[in-house]
Amino acid sequence: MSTEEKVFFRQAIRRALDEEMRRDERVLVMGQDVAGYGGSYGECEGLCERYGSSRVRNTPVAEAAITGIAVGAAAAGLRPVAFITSMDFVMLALDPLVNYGAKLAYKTGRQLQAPLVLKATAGARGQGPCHAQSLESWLMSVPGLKVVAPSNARDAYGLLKSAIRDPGPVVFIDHKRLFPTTGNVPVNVPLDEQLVPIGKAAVCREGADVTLVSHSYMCTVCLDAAEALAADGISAEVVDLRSLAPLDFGAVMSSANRTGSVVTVEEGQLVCGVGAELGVRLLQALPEVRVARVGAARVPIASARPLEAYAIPDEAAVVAAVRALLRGGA
Amino acid sequence: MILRLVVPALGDLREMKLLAWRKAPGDPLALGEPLAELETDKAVIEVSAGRDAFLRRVEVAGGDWYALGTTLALLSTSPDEPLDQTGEAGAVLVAATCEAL
Repeated sequence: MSTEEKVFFRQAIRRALDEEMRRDERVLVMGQDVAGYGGSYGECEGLCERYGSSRVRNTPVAEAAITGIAVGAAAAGLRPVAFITSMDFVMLALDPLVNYGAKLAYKTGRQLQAPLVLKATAGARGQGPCHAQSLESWLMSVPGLKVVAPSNARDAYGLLKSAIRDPGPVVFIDHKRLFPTTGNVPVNVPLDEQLVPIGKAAVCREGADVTLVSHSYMCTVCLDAAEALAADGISAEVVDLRSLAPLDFGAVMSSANRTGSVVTVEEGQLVCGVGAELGVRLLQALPEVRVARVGAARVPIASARPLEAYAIPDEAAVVAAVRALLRGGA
Repeated sequence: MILRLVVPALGDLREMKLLAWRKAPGDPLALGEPLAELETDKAVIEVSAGRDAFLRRVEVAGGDWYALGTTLALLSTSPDEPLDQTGEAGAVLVAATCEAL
């Protein structure tokens, strides 16, 4: 009997929230438009009706306050999921998130913890320079902070549930371009429940000649690029990091060992980016492996579609980087 | 004339879910009259044929997912034109009009 159901990405998120709120009454959702409106992407639809306005709380447009309250509520024993509608506004949340949330357990010898989830939506999709950034690499360096960034609906469901149960704090990053996608989630919960562990990458396509390492929406771009490369006789493996902190470097190394070439692909900036971190670690661990990086152009993301498309990596950019890397080593 | 009902591309969607048909084969369809409900990534939407017609044959069942560009149904401009003579290939494309519920 099939125990899975195909749903839109927003419904996978909604299902994770719903199940965790039902399971644990300490879980609450807070953010802009999460209550009556049902979330900016419809990912909270019906939750306020089901759990009431004390557990699904609308907030003002004030990300520092949202995050500060979430850290305080978490320290006091609740398990808040705070929504930052566009990841760009995590900038306003950095002080409570980094100085208070991420350090709380360290500062108190674990007498206090901050089991909160900050859910932030990254990615460029026609919304201009201040609602388009992918800033996850900024957060990877913060001790005490976990960062996850699923590439599909199923992992979003499984990772969000893990994030809510984690002693935290966890930043859960989804992506505007993932919301039109679909995926399968379990129907009989808790019977068939499948959590995705934090800190574990996944191989989403096997290959022999080159490894594409990515996360979030860029995994889709890598899968398309792998398909295009296959037509040219190049077999590309695609590794989805899923978690950026902690980073599953073992999975990257194991794939790199097999293929001998790695191309990292991210929507954010290359300087001090995910690829920079992976590249150095690869250089130290496997000096014979060839590495190239693909990332955003060094400009703010424009509102104009052609300029946006120019600034962020696409299938052609990934294919070109793979060809150049493999050619260079021949 | 046989018509092929197709929902136009909506954003980056690759597939959608047909929730329910509001009409049955043989039913007349007035311009703008809702004929089916679809679920998109954002909302439930109502689909109408964009012209007067008759619903003749449903190609996607209620509850099914389908790829964008799939023919949802065959329509005709008169009630009893034979469908088999034209077939899907010969049918004229009619874009559905959509409205959020």
